[in-house]
Amino acid sequence: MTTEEKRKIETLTIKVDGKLIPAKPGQTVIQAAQDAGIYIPYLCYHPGMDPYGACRMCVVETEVNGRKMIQASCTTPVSNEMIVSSDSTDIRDLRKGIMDLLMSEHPHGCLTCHRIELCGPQDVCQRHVSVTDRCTTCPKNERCELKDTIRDTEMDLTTPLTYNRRQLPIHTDDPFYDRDYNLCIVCVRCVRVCDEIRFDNAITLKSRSGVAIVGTSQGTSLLESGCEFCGACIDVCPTGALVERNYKWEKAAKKTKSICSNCPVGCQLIMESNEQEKSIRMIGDYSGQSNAGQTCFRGKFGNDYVNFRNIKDPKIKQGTSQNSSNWEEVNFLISKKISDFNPSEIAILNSPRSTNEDYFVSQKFARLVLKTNNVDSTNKDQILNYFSKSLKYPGGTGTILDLENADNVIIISGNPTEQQNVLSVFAKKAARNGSNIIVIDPRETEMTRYSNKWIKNTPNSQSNLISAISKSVFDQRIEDQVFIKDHGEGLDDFKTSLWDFDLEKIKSEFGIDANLVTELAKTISSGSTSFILGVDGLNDFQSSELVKSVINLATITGNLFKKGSGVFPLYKGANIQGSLDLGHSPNLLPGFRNLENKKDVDFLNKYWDSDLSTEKGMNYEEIIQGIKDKKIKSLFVMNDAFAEDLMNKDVLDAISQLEFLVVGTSKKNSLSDLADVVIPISNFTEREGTMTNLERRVQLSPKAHNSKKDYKSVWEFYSNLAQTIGFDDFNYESAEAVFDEIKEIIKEYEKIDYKTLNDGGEKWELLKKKVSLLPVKFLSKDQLNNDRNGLLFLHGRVLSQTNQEVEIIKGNQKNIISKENIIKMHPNDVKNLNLKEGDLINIVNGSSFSIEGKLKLEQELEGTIRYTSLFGEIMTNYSESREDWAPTIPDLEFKTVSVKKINRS
Amino acid sequence: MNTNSKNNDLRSNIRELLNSENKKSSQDSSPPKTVTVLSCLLSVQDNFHYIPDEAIEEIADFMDKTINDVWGVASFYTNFRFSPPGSYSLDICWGPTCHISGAQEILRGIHKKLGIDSETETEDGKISLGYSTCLGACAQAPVYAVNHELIGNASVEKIMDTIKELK
Repeated sequence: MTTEEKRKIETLTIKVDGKLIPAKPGQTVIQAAQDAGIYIPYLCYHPGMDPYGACRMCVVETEVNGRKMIQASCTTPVSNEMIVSSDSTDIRDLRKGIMDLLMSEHPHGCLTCHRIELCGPQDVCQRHVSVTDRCTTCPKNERCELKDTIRDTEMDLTTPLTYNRRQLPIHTDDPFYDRDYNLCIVCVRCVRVCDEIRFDNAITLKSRSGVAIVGTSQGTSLLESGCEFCGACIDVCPTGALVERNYKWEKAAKKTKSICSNCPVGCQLIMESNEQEKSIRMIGDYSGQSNAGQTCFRGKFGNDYVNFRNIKDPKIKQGTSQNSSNWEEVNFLISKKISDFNPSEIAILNSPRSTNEDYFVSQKFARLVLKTNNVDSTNKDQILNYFSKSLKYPGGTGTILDLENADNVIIISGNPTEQQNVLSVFAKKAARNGSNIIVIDPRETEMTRYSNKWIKNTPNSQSNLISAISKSVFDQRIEDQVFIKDHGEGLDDFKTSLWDFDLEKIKSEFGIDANLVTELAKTISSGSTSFILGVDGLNDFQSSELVKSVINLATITGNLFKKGSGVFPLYKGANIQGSLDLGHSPNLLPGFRNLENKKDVDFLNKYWDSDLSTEKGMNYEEIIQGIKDKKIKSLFVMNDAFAEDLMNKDVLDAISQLEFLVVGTSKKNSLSDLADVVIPISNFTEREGTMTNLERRVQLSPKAHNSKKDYKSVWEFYSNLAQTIGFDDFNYESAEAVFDEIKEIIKEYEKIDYKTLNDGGEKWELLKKKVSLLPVKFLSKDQLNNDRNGLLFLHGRVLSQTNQEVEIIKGNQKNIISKENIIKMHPNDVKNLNLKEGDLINIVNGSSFSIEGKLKLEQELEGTIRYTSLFGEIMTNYSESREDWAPTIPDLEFKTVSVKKINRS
Repeated sequence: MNTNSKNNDLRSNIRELLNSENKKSSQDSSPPKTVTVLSCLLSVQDNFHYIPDEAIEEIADFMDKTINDVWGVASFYTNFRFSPPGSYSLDICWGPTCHISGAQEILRGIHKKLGIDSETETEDGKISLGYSTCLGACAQAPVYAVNHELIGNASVEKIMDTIKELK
């Protein structure tokens, strides 16, 4: 076959309703028709999922080589010169017949009423449809796919008014969403999305034939069926069977493409707002470049807090009360006050939810106006700073959607299914495609269920294992020499440092089999490997060693900067990447410039016509300590979602002693109560701004709501304040103007076009693709537990525990999980404690933390106590919450604990 | 607590059964049996005569599936039962001939007497009521069978008498 012929075959031509359209081989008829803008009605088909062929609504007549057939267009692949008729009278009649059957179990009085086009949403109908069957009583009214499909089929009132109501129970006891299967048309989209896209299988098709219906195993609660409350099933449901409980009956007046600010994945969401400009629903956007239509419990249900803002005016503290004020007064007061302090006595903090523009103007304000480098985000995650030692940039490599192409996915010391959920969706997809999933973590997390190798390492010894793999790679001579030559620096020193990692030593000290290490080395270098890297539970030294060793391993096996590979950092704050890019960090200037590098400082001095202080700044933790030591006397804290440890009592006590505290937020909290000045900051629906996610994608979240009062973004506040003080350089007209300046200063951002950032965003590219292969250190046993005496408590959390008795009880009409905890220990650890298997024990750490459970002995991980809880246990707490709960999901803690036996008769 | 330990016993019995089935299939010299969710369900039903709730979870754990996957398969097949069978089986025929001879009337009467309203067990666990579409003895219609022993010319009284004789 010549190439010319081949090319011809690559695009086929089919004729749909008399129109010639192109089609790709392997496409189905409905896909080809949709690409060409021809509508064929469908209900069970959904782009992104495999064809299913359940509803038969998409029937068409096809003709190939003169042979005519009636087929479902969603399951029929195109063939060249196929003639398709989707609109003939015969086909329309067939569809009507199918729809007739489909509707016999769905309330359809309104759907088939001849007045449907005349009827308004609130009209009172006197005679046509009985009250309970009306579309107006359905939560999906006006956004019902079934209704649209019926309109297209032009059904008339030919079926009787009554329909067969199946009298199925309505499930309203589970968190976040309601399920009324009386409205279900069994298109099975929800079951398929849960299986094919989310890989959770939390719901299933039960029974068969006429009584088949969607549900959970034995009708149990979603809390124990393995649901992760991502809401993907709600987004695909064509009827009112599945709906979000909050704002259930609200109609969308406006839709805005928004970026989720609850975690660093930065999912693109379509936010629906009602006429009162309340955010009522979040729907995953299929055109999103970091999430491909998926979202999670945080993005789907964790954004309602924006509707309950309670800081509406600038306030000034007079005596003990905070009184409403106005912007002029506030700016005047602050500008007067700040001159009382030395530069080293003032600090600026912004939450990880701030935009790039906020960060940029904040740090510029700190450096130019306050002359201090005490500027940081309220965030303890230091992982990106460790990255910058090896990679020249504080940032990961790799693309989230590309994870599914990885041959191996290695997840180390992180819990992405809860903290960076949508990232894990693509790792799970790789698992379904048959890739190796290797989890290195002593805790049981959801990803361990998908793994084909779960390495329960001695806690904190991860870096030893990784470096041992590196050594094995060199020993077996399977390193990627070309890649190392192109991108690696300092190979010799690194190789020398690997001598410490003797496989026999690793085995005797940490019980890691030499064969396992050799095997892993082979696996990692044989295919494309993505590393998902967290540093949960590690101290600074251990974390930096781990990050170093992982990047080294990725480099020597050639697993950076190419398809299916990369190192993804796991951290919690949504825009930490942006804060570092823009120099919102004590010792890092915008554009990854170093405070200690004279050339870098000179560049900015020239650009801003300034004289920057080169005195070392304090980072977040140093600032907190500084407040306690009274070194910091004035503090500015801005934006929602502060780190929880800022709200600890001892920190708040220290903060209350500050001479001058300015807090900017949209919701009242214990920090804003202490403030001398409270600033009403606009939340993400009320402002425009860009954010940079963990794959370095810059995305724009536009302003969706017009605020009734004069709220300000953080950057607006600081630029107004600077202008009040007399700095003209802060005169920005809009967020875009700030971004223009960012582009001029930061080379990596130079090519980004602000106008296109709302359509999937743009990744900033690493200009220097060089990796420093830093020498690694062997962590001896003493270095692992240097600050821990006693037993280490390892908390795991999973979606379902099938091998354990789990009971669902009703509390306040809602389902709550009640189960007996099982606490696992090593037999050697219980010897001195006089405990035996089956004993009831109590695990305590101080007064704050206590868990009761039944003891189980297992021959592994000596020196630790393992306990796995259920995700559903924490989800019940958030369902009805109006608070900003998404950033406060508890981590899986590592704690030193003591064990007590409970004697109970 | 008590029910919990009973459940745990049942669970370990099921676990043992699943493990032994798996071993058997790998040791047999004849072509090895594929272990599937369905084969697990069948062996549980063969051994326990029904599928306990715990079995759904244990099979899910054993096969690395979710409980919903297993339930999807189990609920599809009407031959699986999910409650323990009664000590005696009572099948009442409602095939065409028995129907004409008044099977529906008998069923209504039996439902009332036994205090149940569908194919299920009586509260004391003595009898499992089942409906049959034909027991193959139309000449004696209406017919019923106790423990698969056929009895003709049924009436509510006659059936109740037979039941009373059972221990």
